[in-house]
Amino acid sequence: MHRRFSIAARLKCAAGIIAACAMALASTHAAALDGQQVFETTCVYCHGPNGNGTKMLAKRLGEDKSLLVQRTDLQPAYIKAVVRNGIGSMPWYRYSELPDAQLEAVIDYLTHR
Amino acid sequence: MPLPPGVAEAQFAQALKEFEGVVGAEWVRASDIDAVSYTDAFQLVPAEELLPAGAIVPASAEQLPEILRIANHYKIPLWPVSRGKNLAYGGSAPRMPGTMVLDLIRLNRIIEVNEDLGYAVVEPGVSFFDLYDHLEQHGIDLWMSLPAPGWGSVMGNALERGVGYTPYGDHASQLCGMQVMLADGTQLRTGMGAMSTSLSTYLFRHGFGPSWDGMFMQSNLGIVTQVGIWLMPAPEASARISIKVPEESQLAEVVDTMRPLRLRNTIDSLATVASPVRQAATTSQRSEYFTGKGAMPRDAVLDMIKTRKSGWWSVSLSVVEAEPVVEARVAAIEKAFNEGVKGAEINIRRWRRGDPIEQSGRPRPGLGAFQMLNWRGGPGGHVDFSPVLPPVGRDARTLYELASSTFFRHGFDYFGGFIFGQRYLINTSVLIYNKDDNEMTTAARACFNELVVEGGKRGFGGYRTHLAFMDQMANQNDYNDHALLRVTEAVKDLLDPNGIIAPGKQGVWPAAYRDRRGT
Repeated sequence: MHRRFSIAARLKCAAGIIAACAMALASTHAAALDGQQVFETTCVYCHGPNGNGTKMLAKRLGEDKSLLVQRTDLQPAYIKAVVRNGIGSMPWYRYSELPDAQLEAVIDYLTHR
Repeated sequence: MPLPPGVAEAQFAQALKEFEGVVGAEWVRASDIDAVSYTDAFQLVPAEELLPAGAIVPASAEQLPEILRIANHYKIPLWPVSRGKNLAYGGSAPRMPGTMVLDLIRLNRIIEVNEDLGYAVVEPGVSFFDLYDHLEQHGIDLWMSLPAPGWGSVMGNALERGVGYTPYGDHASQLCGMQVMLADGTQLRTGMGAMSTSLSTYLFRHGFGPSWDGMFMQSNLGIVTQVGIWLMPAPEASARISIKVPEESQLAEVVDTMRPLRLRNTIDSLATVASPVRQAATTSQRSEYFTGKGAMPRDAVLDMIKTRKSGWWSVSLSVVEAEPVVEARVAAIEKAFNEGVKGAEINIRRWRRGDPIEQSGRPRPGLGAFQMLNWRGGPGGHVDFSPVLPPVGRDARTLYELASSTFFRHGFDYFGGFIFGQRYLINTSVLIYNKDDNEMTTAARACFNELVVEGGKRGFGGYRTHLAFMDQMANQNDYNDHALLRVTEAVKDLLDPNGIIAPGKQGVWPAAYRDRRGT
């Protein structure tokens, strides 16, 4: 079994208060998994060129911040909170869809390129 | 997190320990945060109403008998999901709080693809993306039929009677040969697969004797672990046809024009007829046309249509076959619309082998459909009122007037349309709401409830529904004092005496939890 979090805190996160559940991530590079490959098989459908996520980010933050792979301002804890809690119309990804090791590989890919 | 009903904490902890012994500790997800991750992502009802006790994520069908033995012993109800993407219908959430989700996403093998005979054999965790990529990577000349989002399960979508827009678009009808595990761990194969040496398991659906395949669709009578699903041989040519119809009042003309074309199979695929907001929401947001409160007034809708240069109704369909057949069908469709629907603007995109495949009617999985969630702004969700009706103009008009006026009174823009089957229409009236707006989600539930009641009075029964409305919809099957439901529940009690598989699914409650009906 895994560490317990209160449902209230979890739902608060889902409502967008990302900082409330941001957790420190180990900054180790996930060498065992190819984060780019995970990104391209899991995230790219929405966060590739012309994806919904890209379009929505362009509206919210501007074209220069719309493509995740071009961003330099993404923080590991923020990515993790968004993926696990969802944001806007992006649904969350549960552990069975994206185990922690894969998530950390994607985070590594997006923050250490 | 809620415990399974009637199960003490110590008993539950012991059951989890035993589940861990089967699937490994990593794959018993019983923390609060894990449990919440299995609630309905579209949050139509408060999360607590659909909250599981956690999830078990087996690696293979071989682990299921032991999981079922433990669940029976400790009376732990299980809610099987394939990939948990039945969004708008409850996602991966169970009907009864405290149920454990049985997450089959790791059963993700594509066991066979037979190009000559046009079928695939897949496990529950295989997504449309997975199967599409497999066909591409192996150069297999078969086309899939797809629902709007591609991340869902091929098997799960077909079992829930999802649809796509090719001649194979009635996905449940493409299922042939199921492998199913019952609550006592018995594994069976349906149809010809009941004979262990059969050469025709995935070819002849009916088998010998009573056919059980339908018993496992939208069902809690067993856990389907593998299916055969038919795929379409790639055609020589296709034509994608879109038709703009100028006036709202022309819906009946459209339906009556299309009916003979569908009955004769001139239109050989499931076709759609979409409302203005449904057309607009795929590429834009409501705020671009209207910023007031409540539903968009008619004038705003007319302005939106003008801005977008669209019709009131948009008909989309495709025709696939040998090129001369496609051309003959296209000519018949053009003639019928030109004669039957005044002012119809017909656009045709033709493709023949050798042309870029992107121009063809071959479906390609994506997640573009989620753009519609942004229609109202804020984090979007939706729930779909999906009644079935005859493909007759006056019935379509009656349903449309009921749905659109009910939407308007409850403050929702009418996002909807019709899926045109060979002998039926399915209306999809989609309530898009902001998940964070309690007033809006409350209004969505009230609107949906009213549509079920009023639709039922007019003979419009649903083909599928959200967890929150399953009991209500099952109760509409009232012929002979709900005989069908009573028989189904009698079978349920025989096959699953402890009621451990998906209690409450589709309004079918096992004896152990029958007092929860309607709660």
